[in-house]
Amino acid sequence: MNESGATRSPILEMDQVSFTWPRQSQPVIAIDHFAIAAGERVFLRGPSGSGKTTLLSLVSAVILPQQGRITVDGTDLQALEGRQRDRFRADHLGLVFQQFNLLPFLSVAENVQLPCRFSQRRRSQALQSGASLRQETERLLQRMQLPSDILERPVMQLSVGQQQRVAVARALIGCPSLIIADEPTSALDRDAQQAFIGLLFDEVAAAGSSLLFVSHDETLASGFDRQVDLGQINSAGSTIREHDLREAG
Amino acid sequence: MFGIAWKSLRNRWPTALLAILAIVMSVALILTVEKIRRDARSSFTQTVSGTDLIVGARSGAVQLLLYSVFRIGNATNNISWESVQDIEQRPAVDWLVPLSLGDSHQGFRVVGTDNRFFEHFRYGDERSLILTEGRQFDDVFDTVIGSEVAEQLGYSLGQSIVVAHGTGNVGLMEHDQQPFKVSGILARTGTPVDRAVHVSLEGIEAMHVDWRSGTKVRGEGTSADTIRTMQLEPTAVTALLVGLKSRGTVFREQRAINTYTAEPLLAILPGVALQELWGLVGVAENALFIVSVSVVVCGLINLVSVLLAGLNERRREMAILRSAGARPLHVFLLLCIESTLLTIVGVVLGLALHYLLTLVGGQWLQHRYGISVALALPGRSDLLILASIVAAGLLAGLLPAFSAYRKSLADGMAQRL
Ligand SMILES: Nc1ncnc2c1ncn2[C@@H]1O[C@H](COP(=O)(O)OP(=O)(O)OP(=O)(O)O)[C@@H](O)[C@H]1O
Ligand SMILES: [Mg+2]
Repeated sequence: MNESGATRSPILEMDQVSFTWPRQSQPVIAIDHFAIAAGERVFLRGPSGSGKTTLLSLVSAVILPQQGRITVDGTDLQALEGRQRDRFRADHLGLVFQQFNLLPFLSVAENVQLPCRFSQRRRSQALQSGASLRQETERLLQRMQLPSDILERPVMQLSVGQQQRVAVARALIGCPSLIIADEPTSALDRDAQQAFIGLLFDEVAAAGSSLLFVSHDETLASGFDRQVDLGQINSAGSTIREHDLREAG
Repeated sequence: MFGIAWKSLRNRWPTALLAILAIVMSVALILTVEKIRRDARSSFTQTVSGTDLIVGARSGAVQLLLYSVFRIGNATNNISWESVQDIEQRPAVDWLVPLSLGDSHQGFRVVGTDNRFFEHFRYGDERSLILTEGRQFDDVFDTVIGSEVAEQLGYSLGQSIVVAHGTGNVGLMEHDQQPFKVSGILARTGTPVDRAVHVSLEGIEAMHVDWRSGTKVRGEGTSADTIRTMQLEPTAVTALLVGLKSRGTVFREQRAINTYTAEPLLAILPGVALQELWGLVGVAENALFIVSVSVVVCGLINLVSVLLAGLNERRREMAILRSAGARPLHVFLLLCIESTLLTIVGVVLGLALHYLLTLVGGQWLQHRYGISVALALPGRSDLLILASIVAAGLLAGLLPAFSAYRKSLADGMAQRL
């Protein structure tokens, strides 16, 4: 995987990126260089408050760095206007959060199809792999080993593990080029975590997407192509951490 | 976006319901207040028509209008019968109807008049009075009662009734010697006529035969048959409705009566006096309108506060939408659609409640105050009010929408609880 990824153009590339939250003196992110190859599965590790979520916000173009360049799937995020960035996110990224991924007032099927509402590209790609949006939704949910009668159920009736798998189905629909998962397993028990990651790997591979998986739990890291410690690539994170510790002490 | 807004609202129905309720109440209130205001006006305007001048003892024009036509308040003075005859003989005068007020029956006013009343009195669009049953005055003791008197007291033709001196209901000495009888019942008019007991002027005199300066003369009292043989020419009446041969002479006649030397009299044009009345009532009406507008504003403020309060809990929802590719504009729209939807539902339900109120309350108003409140489609001014409430709701939604928009920009991908 690693070799094949290296030969292809990177899906994510960050250069000289620095980001400071408004009204804060210290940058949270200061990354010289970080890249993910196409098809690569990367495990990003870092303690709480080290800026993992901030990094993901940068990659998904929700926030913009004050300095540096971020390229996702060949597109320079800096060069995009606001509405283009939103379009880009919908088209190219699939996101899974720690928990509360689903809109409680929509059915499971509607939640899965949410990106297709905002992205024409995701919609047409979903229609390519399935005969209809509904069939593709059913297929993905089935691949996530969810019972088939789940489609019209309100999401509040699902277990947390089921909800997370629905969220993965949503991230995968329409084959986005990069799947970003922000601690998606922290609400699951250990067995469920392993099963979840197994399913995630299979489907990411099937969709031909890359995966950026964030967690502070190193025991999950084993199956990934590469493990990255945020503290190593991020020169800002360590200083903040020391600063925090000093304050706490 | 619309579907999402609707489903999201449905998911939070208790708060949404409260927000709607506040709007429903305020819309129903403002529409009902406006309706009563307008219908009361038209009801008043409909009460008298075809009368060129109203004449009474000298007092205020509004006061004369109120006691002579609307039967509100009392006259301070009377017109002597000589003056009445003088006015009747004026060449420009076509007809006149004498009115003698000041007595009551079971809380309904007794109006002394004569058969010319039934002939000349007009209301609404020049409509004349119709007897549903019986006949006009034929005997001294005949009474013709309004539809509501008949209905409320359960009177039918031939019923003997007792007429009291004074206008109150309780503690009055009753003129119990005179056996008045119901000789006719009038059709419903929607005016104070419905609530009056009409007695001939002779009948009014007859009730006072045994009375001297307000107290009953001792003794057996005079029998009805003796009274019938007596000369019962009235000495005074309270007001006159005057019809002229030509409307063009109305100002000349008015001046002539106002400058009548034998007695201080006042002649008014009903339309002009009504205008003066509206001038007085206008202040209260405006106050009422301001109160209703304030209630609407409160409803909208409530809507904004409900939306704003919900916003923090819904940050997660916004973050999910954003992660799925929704633009901040979508989030903005979501909130706008929501507030507009709430306002529109509130306005529609408010309209329904308003109709319910008019349906139920209209009858009560009719009975109690003689104001006829009819069900009608919303008029132009109603639609204007409703449209401005919807517009205000939309504007009110902009504030939380803008706040959500800014938050969705600032929060990034983080999910905050
Ligand atoms: N919206 C924001 N505005 C201002 N500061 C923020 C914001 N989000 C995060 N931060 C700050 O940035 C730093 C990094 O936060 P971040 O959420 O990226 O950490 P994390 O690594 O994801 O932590 P965890 O493992 O607990 O999720 C923290 O010090 C936090 O206070
Ligand atoms: Mg985080």
